[in-house]
Formats: sequence, C-alpha cells, structure tokens
Amino acid sequence: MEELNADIELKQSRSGKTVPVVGGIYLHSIYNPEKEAQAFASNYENSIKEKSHILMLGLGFGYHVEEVAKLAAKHHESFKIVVLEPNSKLVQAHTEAGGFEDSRIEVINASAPTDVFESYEFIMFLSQKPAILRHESSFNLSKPFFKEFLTFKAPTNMNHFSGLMSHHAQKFFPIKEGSVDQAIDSAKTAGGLKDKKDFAFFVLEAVVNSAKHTTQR
Amino acid sequence: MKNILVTCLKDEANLLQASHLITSIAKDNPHNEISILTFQDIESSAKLLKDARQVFTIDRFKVEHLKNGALYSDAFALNTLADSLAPVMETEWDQVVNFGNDQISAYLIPMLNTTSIAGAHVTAYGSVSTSDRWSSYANYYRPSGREVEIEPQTCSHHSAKVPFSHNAERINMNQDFSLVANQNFARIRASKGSENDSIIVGINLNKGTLGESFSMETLAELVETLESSNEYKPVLLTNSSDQEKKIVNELNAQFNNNLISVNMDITAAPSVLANLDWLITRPNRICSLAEAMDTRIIETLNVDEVSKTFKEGSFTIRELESSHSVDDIVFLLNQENETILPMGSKHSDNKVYSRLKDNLGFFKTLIRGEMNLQEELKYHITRGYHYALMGYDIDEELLNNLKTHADREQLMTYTNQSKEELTECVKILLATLRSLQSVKQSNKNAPKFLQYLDRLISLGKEDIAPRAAISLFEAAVENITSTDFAKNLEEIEKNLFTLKADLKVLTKIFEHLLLEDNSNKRTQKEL
Repeated sequence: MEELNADIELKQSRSGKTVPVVGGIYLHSIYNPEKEAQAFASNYENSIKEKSHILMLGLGFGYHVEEVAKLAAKHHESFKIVVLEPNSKLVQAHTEAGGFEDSRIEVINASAPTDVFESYEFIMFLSQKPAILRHESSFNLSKPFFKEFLTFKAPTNMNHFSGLMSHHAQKFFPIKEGSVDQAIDSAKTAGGLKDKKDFAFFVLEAVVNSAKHTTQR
Repeated sequence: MKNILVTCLKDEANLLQASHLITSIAKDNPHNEISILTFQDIESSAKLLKDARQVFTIDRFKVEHLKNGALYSDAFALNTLADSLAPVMETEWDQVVNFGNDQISAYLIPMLNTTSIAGAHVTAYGSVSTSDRWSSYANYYRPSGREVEIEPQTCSHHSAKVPFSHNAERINMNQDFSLVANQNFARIRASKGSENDSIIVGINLNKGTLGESFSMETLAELVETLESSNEYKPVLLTNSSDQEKKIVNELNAQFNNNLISVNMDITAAPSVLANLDWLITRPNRICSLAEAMDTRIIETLNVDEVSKTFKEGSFTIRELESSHSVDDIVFLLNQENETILPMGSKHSDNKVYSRLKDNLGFFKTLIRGEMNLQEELKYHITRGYHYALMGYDIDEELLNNLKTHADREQLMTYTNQSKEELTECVKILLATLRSLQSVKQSNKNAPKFLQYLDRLISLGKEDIAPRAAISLFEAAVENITSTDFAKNLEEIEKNLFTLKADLKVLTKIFEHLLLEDNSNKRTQKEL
C-alpha cells in the first residue's frame, strides 16, 4: 500500500475497500466498512428524516457519508451534507481516490474552528439548523478540534471582526471598541450622538426587536 | 418629478394601509417615482401596491437570527442589514415619508440623503422630531383605549402635503387569478337560483391583530342566517392554516358540506375581494387590503383592538357582548341591502358605527347600541376642536346642531366638566409662564420652572379636553434642537403662548355651546 504521508496509512479491508489508518487508529471497520456505514446511517435515520441539512463531524473515508446521503435522498427531495474534517491529508487522500460524486455533499477542511465560522456560506448552512452527526473514530482522533467547534462562541469585539464586514457595512456602521451591544448601550447613555452613524446601531436593535415580536409566517 | 421613499416598517396591515397615501402621491403628480422600504417577509404585500415603482426590503428574521446566535459573528448581521439598505442609503430622495411611524424608520431617516421628511424621526439628542403639526398630532396624541379623532390617514396625507385621492385604484390585480375568481364567483352568485343574483358576503376567518377570532357560535349563527336566505350567499375566506381548516370543517359538518370556502394567499386576495359585495372581518391585513380596494366592510372589534377601517361605507361593531354581534351584522346587511333577514334581538349591547365623511375628513357615527350622550358629545366636539387646532375654522354648524338637538342638561354637564379641566390647565400654563419669567432673572429658579413644565406636559397624558393641545405643545418642545439655554427658553415661551392660543379656541367652543340662543326669545315690546 502506497503511503500518502507519515500520518495516514491506507489499508485494504476484507471487502476490498480502502480504510485509512491515522496514528494506528482505523477510521473504519477493516472487515466490512460498508456494512458498518449502513449501521451508522440507520442509527441516525430519525434525525436524517427530520432534517434535510446534515453536518457530519469527521470524513473518515466517506463510507458513512454516502450511506447517510442515500437515506437523505429517500426522505427529502433536496438535501445538503457538509462534512467537517480538520485533517488535510485525509481530505486530500479521499479526493485523490475520487471524492464524492454527489454534488450535494461538500467537504470543508479547516485547521481551526474560527476559519469555519468566518465563512458566510457555512453560517447560512448552520442557520438551517442541520442535524449534527458524529463519526466517532474521526471525532475521537481530532477531539480538541471538534470540541472547540461545538463550544465555539464568535468573538464580539468589533475590531476583531471588522475584517469580515462588507464594504456597505463598513460605510454604514462605525467600528467601535467593544461589542455591538456595548456600542448600543454607550450610545443610549451618552446623552447625544456625536456621530450620526451611531444611528445605525439603533436601527439594528430596532430591526432585531421587530423580528422578535413578530410571528414568522 | 420627485423621488419619494415611503417607509413601512411596522406590520403588514400598516403596509397595505400605505396604499392610500402612495396612490394619493402618485395622483398628485403622475411623474413622481415612489419607492417603498419594508420587510422581506411581507414583500408580496408591498408588490400589491399599484403605484410603488420599487420595493426595498430588510430581512429582519435573518438579521435577528444572525445577531442573536452566539455561533455567528455579529459582522454577518451587520452585513445583512447594511447590504439590504445600501440602495436606499445611496439614493438622493426628494422626500422621505415615515408612514409606519415606527422605530426603525425613526432611527434610519436621519441617515438618509434627503432634504424633506414627512413624519417623525429621532434627533441626535434622542428626542423625537416631527415634520409638522399633523405629524405631531399623530405621534404625541395617543388616547388609550379609543380611536383618535383625526384619522392617521388624514395626518399622513397632510404631512406629505397631498390631497386624499378617493375612488382610485390602489391595488394590483393578478389577471390570471382575477379571471378564475370572476368565473367562480359568477357561478356562486347564480347558485341559489333565485330571480336576482345573490349578495356575496365574505367571512374572513383570519384573526384580528390582537389574536381574536370569531367564535364558532357567531360563525355558525351568521352562516345559518345567510345560507338559509334567498338573497345572500356566505363564502368563508381562509389562509389555509390548520386552525382555519378546522373551523371550515366544523362548519361544513353542520351544513352538509354545502359551504363555499376560498383559500387565499395575499397575492390572490385582491381578486377574491373584488368579487365580494360585503366583507365581514376582524381588524387584520385582509381588512386593510379590502379598505384599500373600497370593498364594503363590516369590521368587528373587541374593546382593545384598533380599527383598520376609516372610509365612508364601512361599518365597525365594537363588541361589548359578543353573543349579539350576529344581530348587529344582520342589522347592517338589512339596512344597506333593504332585506329582511331574521334577527334575534332588536337591541344591541354592542356599539355599531357607520364610517362617514364630511368637509373636515373622516368620522364615525353611532347607529346602533346604547348611546352614551356624554361620550358622543365628547367625540364630536373634540373632533371639531382638533381640526381647529390644525388650522380649520371652528365647526359652528356642528355646535349649533348640538345646541339645538342635544339634551341641554347633558350638554351643560359635558361642557362644565370640560371647562373645569380647561381651567386647571390654564392655571398650570400661567404658572409655567410666570415661572419662566423668573428663570430669566435667575437660573436658580430653573428647577421650579421645570417642575411646572413637567406638570403641564403630564396633563397631556390625562383624558381631559385640552389633551391634544398639550400634546402638540409637548411635541413642539421636543422639536427644540438648540443647546443654548437662553434660546431654548425663548422657544419654550413661544410655544407656551401658542398653547395659550390653542386653549383659547377651546374656550370659544365652550362659550358658543353655553351661549343661550336668543333668536327665539321675544322682546318685551313684542310681548
């Protein structure tokens, strides 16, 4: 078996499928990874039935993802699966082996959770409230990454996230020390607005309140 | 040609109510280009407004979701909001109209590129600035529990400086929906097989703005009365919600599945409403839409709900005892269509009003239910007074009619009570003026002056005759933007004298009412 790198070893299962081994740990069953993947997907069938958007923690070599996709196709006209995997060599190996044919499956490779949460597309995917499925062997292999991902809280300081602001947002909102909420409180207690642009924070607050007090149809 | 932005960032019913002003602006000058700013979730309603060239939207639910999610950087919420507002921010507007009178507009408008604002906005000091006296009235005069005497539509038209356009087409009709609706309703009209086509009465099952629906008893009784008549055909109007489907099923079970119901979303609603002879409804967006289309409406409200109707030809039933509201509806249908549907009771514990129009504007008159003469006197005299505050002449014809036809004792009771309230206000006003003079001599007297000023303004929150005048005074004080104490005092003094003059108008009204009519008295010589 050709070694792709020191960290990943690709072995053949009894059923002839490639099984990656990372640091001595087999990411799938060395006997029958497809059967194992089917069992994995069955365990999550209720979640898959309820949600057309699925976030998979851990790529492995994708067998479990393909089985989940089959179930998702059974229950939904359209669906999307995003696979989050921090090990770039594993992602590369999977891609070189053909990757996923199904365009409804997307793999995101990130070395830090912050990188993922700075992606607007990923944020929009998360706002669909996807089902979150764990591939245990991948999860345990990259536990610190996934734990940080699951407990992530976005930085609130405007100076820290100003790089993410669009051109219009930078024109509309003044960048302040501290968070947006602190900027709103500060403007309220100031006794007068020094900068007309501070109105933008009040507009934001009023829009948020309007949504809170309205039942969405 | 003017480039005009109308902001409707309150709710869907309010957005549909904007159709009146938007069409009036368009009729005033057909070259005006009118755009709307509203919410994305009610964009389909905005697109119904015939004279709106462009609709800009804010996705408030997305902004809220992104702002409140701990996972999401606030940057995304800021981007979503700013990106959607960009075209509005980048446009030079000849006029911006805050139709919704809402907080979002009030904060946004100072950031827009415009030289003319109609309505209210917030200043850099956090105070509310109003564009004119009409806008001040609409913003500051808020009597709780009852309707205002000058309709908000009247105020918004005056603030925007356009005349109200009656009998105008305000709503876009989808041609395909209309074709189908016209065919279906023609069949419904002919379905009873009687000599004349049936009078079609749409019963809107949607809840009112405070969540109240028609009770099953009311619906069953109303449907029974109409269905068993030769002249009328009821049609249930629903929005396909599970709750309304349940109501339709329950009603149909009582009527052998013979009832007609129409599921309509907002884009199909105009085609349906155009085919109705009458709409029975709670106050909601469908009611506002029907009002925009000049459909004849019978609107039923509980004591806390705000009416969505205001135009001549509509009726409101203020429910005090909802068990009798069917009789009120039937009474109105009989009166307007000259029919004789059976009624359970000749009398009503509710109050039924007809919406009318005179040379001043829109008003309502009680046509059924127990008349509380004090309330009626208060409404009509107050209305006349409020229009006088806006620069109209005192309605002497009304006052003469009251003197001639109203019970003298009741008139005296009302007038004397109101005069007492007025006297109290004048006392505090004069004390405030004196106190202001003392501040000019020494700033040490400022706290006492502010106390009197506060006391005066707080009278504008009480249910008393001079309330609106004091509210206008409060608005004028809030409109002062100078940071110079001496200039502020000068402005306040000016406004106090304006208030004095406004209270004098009320004094004249009471003097007129109390003056005995001597024309019928014979002189001593004649005797």
